[in-house]
Amino acid sequence: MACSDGHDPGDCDELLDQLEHLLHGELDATRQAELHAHLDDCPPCFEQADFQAQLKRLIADRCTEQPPSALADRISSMLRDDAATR
Amino acid sequence: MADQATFADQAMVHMAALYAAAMRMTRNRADAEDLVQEAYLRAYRGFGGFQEGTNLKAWLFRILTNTYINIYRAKQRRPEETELDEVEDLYLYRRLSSVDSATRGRSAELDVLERITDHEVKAAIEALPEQFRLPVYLADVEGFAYKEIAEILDIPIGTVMSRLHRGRKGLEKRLHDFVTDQHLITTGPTGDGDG
Repeated sequence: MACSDGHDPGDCDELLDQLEHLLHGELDATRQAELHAHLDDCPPCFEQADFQAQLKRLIADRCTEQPPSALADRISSMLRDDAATR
Repeated sequence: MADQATFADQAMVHMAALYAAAMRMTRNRADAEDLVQEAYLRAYRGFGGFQEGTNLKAWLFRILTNTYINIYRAKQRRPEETELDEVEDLYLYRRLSSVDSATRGRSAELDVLERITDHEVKAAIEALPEQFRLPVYLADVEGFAYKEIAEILDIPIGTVMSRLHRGRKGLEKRLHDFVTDQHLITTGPTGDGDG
């Protein structure tokens, strides 16, 4: 990723390398601050990071399921039966 | 030492999450219901071994995963694919942003994302080989930390990270296939279209 304005292009590689860990909240505070500082300075990296963050949110939002309404009752009565027979 | 009498009060609030995970594991409703029921029975019987104050949801997911691996995976006849094609980083972003960039606004990639449906995301996850599917699901849908995923799946944290990295890229590739199939984008001259 070529970034012309001022910063070391190695910073962009570093951001890309660490981005998924950053978005997952797996980095320590110092490391997070360094990478956020880079994102503030580098619009191409910011755009990539924003896209990946939105993608991650979308995956979670699109994956919900409505359990069958009877399932909770079935499990509860199964557990009562299990307690009663032992 | 957890008291079995309090099990239902504590554990049933996680049922919808366990059911959703079971759907992605078994890929069908009947097996998902059976799997969740069996996991609750095992969790109930083993609740004495749960350490009060630790993460109950992660403990339940560990039992769900083990139940799935022990019972349901064994009866699935189709061979489990184990490999994923090598895919470059930022696969989806790079393809969406290379398309027709002159005529599109800066947020065009995000607009395409918003039009991806529930069904497509679920199908993309289900298409991942299991060794990648479970870490990706636990991380990106359920939001478990790497360390929790390592404990749930009983694999080293380095393995969690490498499977997540490859699994997430595989997921992006599948989503890209849906996006192009649905004509949400037209492939421009710079897109490589790769098949």
